[in-house]
Amino acid sequence: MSKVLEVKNLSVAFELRGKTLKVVRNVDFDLNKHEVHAIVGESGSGKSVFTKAIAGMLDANGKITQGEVALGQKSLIDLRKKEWVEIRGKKLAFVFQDPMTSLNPLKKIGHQLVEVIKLHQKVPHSEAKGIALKLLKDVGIQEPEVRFNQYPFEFSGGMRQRVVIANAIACQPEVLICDEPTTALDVTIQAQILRLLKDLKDRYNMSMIFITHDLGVVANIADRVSVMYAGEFVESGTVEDVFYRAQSPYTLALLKSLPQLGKKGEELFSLKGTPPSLTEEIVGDPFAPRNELALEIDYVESPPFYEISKTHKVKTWAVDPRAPQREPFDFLNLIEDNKALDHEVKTDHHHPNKIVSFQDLSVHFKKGKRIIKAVNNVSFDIFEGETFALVGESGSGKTTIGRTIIGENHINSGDIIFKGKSLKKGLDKHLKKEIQMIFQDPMASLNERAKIEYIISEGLRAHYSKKELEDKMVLLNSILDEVKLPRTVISRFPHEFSGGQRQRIGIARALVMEPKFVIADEPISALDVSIRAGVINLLNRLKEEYKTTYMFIAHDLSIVKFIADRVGILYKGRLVELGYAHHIFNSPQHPYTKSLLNAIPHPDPQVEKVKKIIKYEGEFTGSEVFKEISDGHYVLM
Amino acid sequence: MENQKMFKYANRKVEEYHLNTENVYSYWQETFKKFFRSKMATVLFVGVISLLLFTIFYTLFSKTDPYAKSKMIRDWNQPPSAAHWFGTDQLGRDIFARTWYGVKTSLLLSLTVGCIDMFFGVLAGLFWGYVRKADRFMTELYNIISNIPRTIILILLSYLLSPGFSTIVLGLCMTGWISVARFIRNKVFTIRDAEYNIASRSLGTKTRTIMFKNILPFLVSIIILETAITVPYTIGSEVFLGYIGLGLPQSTISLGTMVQAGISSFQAYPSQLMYPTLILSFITVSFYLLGNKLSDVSEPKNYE
Repeated sequence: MSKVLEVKNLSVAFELRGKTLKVVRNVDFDLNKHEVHAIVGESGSGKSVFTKAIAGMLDANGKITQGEVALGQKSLIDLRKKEWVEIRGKKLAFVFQDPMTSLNPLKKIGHQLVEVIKLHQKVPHSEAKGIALKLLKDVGIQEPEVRFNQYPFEFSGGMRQRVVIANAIACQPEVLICDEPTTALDVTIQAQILRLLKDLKDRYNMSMIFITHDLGVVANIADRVSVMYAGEFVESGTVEDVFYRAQSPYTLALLKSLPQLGKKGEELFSLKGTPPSLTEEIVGDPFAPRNELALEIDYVESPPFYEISKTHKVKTWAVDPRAPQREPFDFLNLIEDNKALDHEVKTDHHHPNKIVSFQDLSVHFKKGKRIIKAVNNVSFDIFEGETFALVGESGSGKTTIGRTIIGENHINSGDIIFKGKSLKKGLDKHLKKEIQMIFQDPMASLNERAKIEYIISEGLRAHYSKKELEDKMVLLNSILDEVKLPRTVISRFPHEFSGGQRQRIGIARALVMEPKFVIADEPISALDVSIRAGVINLLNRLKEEYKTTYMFIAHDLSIVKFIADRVGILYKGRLVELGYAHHIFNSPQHPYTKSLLNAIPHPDPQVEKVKKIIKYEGEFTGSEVFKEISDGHYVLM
Repeated sequence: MENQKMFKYANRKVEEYHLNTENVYSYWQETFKKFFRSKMATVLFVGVISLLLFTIFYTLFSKTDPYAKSKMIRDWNQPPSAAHWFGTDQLGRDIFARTWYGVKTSLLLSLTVGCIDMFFGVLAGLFWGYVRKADRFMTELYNIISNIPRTIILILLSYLLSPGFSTIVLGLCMTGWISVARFIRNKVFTIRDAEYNIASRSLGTKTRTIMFKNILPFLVSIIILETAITVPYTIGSEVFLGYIGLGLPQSTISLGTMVQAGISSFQAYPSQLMYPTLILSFITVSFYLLGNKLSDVSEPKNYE
């Protein structure tokens, strides 16, 4: 296998607020011809900075402090602007995460493509247009001649990403670097884009570097995998090596955190602690402080690379012959064991009380002259004490429903009944105490200029007098203990905390109100994979203690399977399937549900690589009825 | 060589929560640090502060009377000398003294107008932007007020009340506040429905509290910018008004009246216009640049 890209001893440092951050520390990396080499890591691992450094695209305060990067024979270190123009686009191309901002909103799609082609291939306009049209067809855009003359805002997220990919491969680069290209997309679209990328790789003879934090996606697309932590690669090997024969403690932690390995009713494995500070010298193994099985030497000396096989190498002391034997981690067995859901689930929806009831709920939005029916005649009930999951992709209406319950959106027709009271006219103060919400983005849901103490007690201040507030302080302190945050956080500001910690603050804020009903709007989708499990465990535990009812809004079905009692599937504003979790997952009826379940990337390379995609693009005729086909299981047909 | 002992389990407690000290910083401290890292900002800042201090001390303690006229022709229109550093004007008055008294008056005027405009403008803009129902009324009000030319208002006021300091302040403020309000309102629109505001609403926080605790802190950088622009703009307006005869009366010393006088004697004695103009330019440019810089550094781009 010839090497297309080779990196040796690369280090990258940033200047921030007067301090130096060592973001990438002495890494080696290579890319073979025609392979997909995936880099897996969480936030702060350095994976994006690493690829940007290779392409010479670091921010102004970043610098390559040492190392070599060679694309074929040519070195990519210290090139001048003119030399980069020859490389970028032609030999090395990038696909970024956010398709909304990767395209110029003021220029037509076709124009942007033709621009790129003319720049690198130096052909006349008519020929460039022909190439562009062929490219659009290759990336799966229907009616390319029509789409050629449209603007980005006329495209959906998935289609925009296809155009971005078209832009990237326009000049048939040797190396395509994809930085989380599907993270911002719906799961069904993600499946299609991954297949497209694999297809294009073969057709255009490219080699790919694929950055992601999602192990399911890795199982789908990668040939080789490198796991990155605190600026260095801790494990590297073929995709089977890393999934089935993982050796590094960090890789094992990532695999153990997968919800597919979780058993319902038990706690998910979660990683404690946070990644190390990048400004200080890291002594020994950077993962040691979070590793329960750390050895004494992990705190003293940095481990070397051990070769497990010709393809597989690991940077950890745990595989040294002198280290104690660890318990074997049989990935394949664990994932098989927990596949089917427990069948002994109570189906006692005839008995408990309804706490919330949605009756023919419709919420419309006006966009100029058009009316968008975000929520269209949705009816279902939520029972006291259960965890109900509302699942759907973008445009399904799930977020709208959540926001409508708390009074942000106006109800057009139908009603929401909460404990016998109608919410049609909005919420009065008393109801606001009982219904609370946990928000999706921990970076946006806290007031940056307020102290944590104010943030958590904000709800209390609105509802209780000064004297009553003092009594509530006891409750506040105990909530802080529950979410595993020390009491000293109250005098700090949000920017001092990581995403996972901020989400815990958001949870504390909602729960200190002692609500009866909590709406969790995608509470973990913005968090790192290893942190998600901790938050889920916390939510489950709090539910037990405070006896609240949860409505989980999610698009990640693998987590839903683990926590939900009952599930409702939304598609384009309508409820298409409703029932107990094990019914939905073990025997889905509606074609959309089937396509949704199929699209989730399964973190097992053997299974994922041969999976066939089920596509669903249905339209509603308006004459469908919600029918009960078995105990508590309803389908729209 | 590593000892066999080193390969035993360390069994140290894994910390659930770890405070990343590099993230601990105070917003204002960091803002000012960033501000003074720029050489240009520091130099201009020192310059403006020196100018302000000099103006205050000179007008308080100097013995030179800026009103002192001379009856002797030979004292009129003198070039700079040891006795009169900037020379004398057509009535023998010391230009140096008059310049600094003028700076005092002009700065006082523009800071007064600035503060009043900003105070009412921010309150109105907050309300206009946040309270949905207020938008229609306020937009109509804006359309009406902003279309009335300031000059007409000033002429009317000068006619009704005698021209003076308070007249100009009143005239400039009457129409100025609504542009500030518009600016603020647009910014409020962008953060009105941010998740943290939805959170506050769902917790039951009063609208007033949300406006002042959630929204106002985010307007800081835009408020600084607006204030810093208002100062040179007001001084400029005052000069312009003086030029067209609607400004402060000639008996008051301000940069406007100085420029007015300097223009009339420009043909014969160009230097008389030069001194007030130089000081005026320095104030205008410095306030504008410093305001921009402070506004830039106080805008939180990333909470890393």
